[in-house]
Amino acid sequence: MTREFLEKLKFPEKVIKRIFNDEDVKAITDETLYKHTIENIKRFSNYGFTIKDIVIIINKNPRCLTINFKSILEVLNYLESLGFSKHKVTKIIKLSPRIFDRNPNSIAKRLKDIETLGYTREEVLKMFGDFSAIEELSLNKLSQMQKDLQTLGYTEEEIHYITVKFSPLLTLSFEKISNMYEYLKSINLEEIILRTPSRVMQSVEKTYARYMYFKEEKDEIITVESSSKIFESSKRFQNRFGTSDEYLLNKYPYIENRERMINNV
Amino acid sequence: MLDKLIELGIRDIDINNMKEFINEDNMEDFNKIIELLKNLNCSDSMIRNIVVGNPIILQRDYEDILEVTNYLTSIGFKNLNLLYDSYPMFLNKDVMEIKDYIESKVKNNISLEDIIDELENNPLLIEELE
Repeated sequence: MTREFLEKLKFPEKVIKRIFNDEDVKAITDETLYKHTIENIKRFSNYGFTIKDIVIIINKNPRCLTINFKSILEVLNYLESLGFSKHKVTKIIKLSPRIFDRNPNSIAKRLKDIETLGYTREEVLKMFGDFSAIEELSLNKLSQMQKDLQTLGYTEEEIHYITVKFSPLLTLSFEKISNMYEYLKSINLEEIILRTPSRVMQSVEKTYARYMYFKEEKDEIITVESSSKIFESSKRFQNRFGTSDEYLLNKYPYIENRERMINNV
Repeated sequence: MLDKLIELGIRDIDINNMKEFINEDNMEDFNKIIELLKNLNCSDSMIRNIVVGNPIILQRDYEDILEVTNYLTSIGFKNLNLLYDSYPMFLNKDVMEIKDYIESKVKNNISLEDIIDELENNPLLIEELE
């Protein structure tokens, strides 16, 4: 019954298979599943989710079809009560469909826990609104990241500033951040991270290759002020400077620089 | 799976923080995913970042990640190692999700080439958080 209904809605076969392989789905009868599926999809749609959104959400959390929509609505209403628009709530859910595995109290507790790390309520909500996946991170992980960043020499205020300004940084490995920081520091550009924390997303390999291009081929030493050119998109970079990232990555492999840095220490 | 994480060089403290995602039944898939990442020229450090930054990968199907990778390559993405390293959660996307994003941008008269360029430069855009 449920399968036919999902097929009629053009759910991809892969998603249907995933739904029926889910342990929570297996634990209920097809009749119950069918009832919830019809109800939940209809009400998701009424809330403002497109059918494509719904497929994406269910694909990542098939459990959404096994629970009463009342529980789902409680989460949606809770998110709205935090000040997020319906449109924003749909974006949050698409990024973090596992949020339906929790109830408003447990979400509130997680957000409250983040406050204990020194953030204000407003800051936590900004971080969550910017990147809701931080709500899935354990308090230990967040706290460890703060400690790790301190080992790079950042003050508590700086860590606070960086993580509020760019909360996705909290999901990256410390090794990635540390590699980027150490490299930027070796070329006196570590200030970039404080100015624009999202720069740590770019791989150190690309950062190194582009920096070396300017140094070796243009006889130009990149400064903090001129550093935006090493963070440009590939297309813009190629259009402006006539060379591709692939070429530079091959010509200036970071791994060799890394070994030199380690040997110098 | 624990042994594999240690073998990859992931810190104990990070392994502890991802224990809830460990699924021994998914070991075969996880091994294949790691091999796939190596074939994409991910360095050991990138692989550690991808796993620590996106522990859900421990539960992902290899076929899904292969499908996403093949799709991204087929439409013109280059250096997927850099993309996945920049935003490890990109690996949680399904092809239909990426297609959906691209279609919505194409409707706004943005060329595929520019969409790819923007995503490679800032993979977070896929989440459409603004």
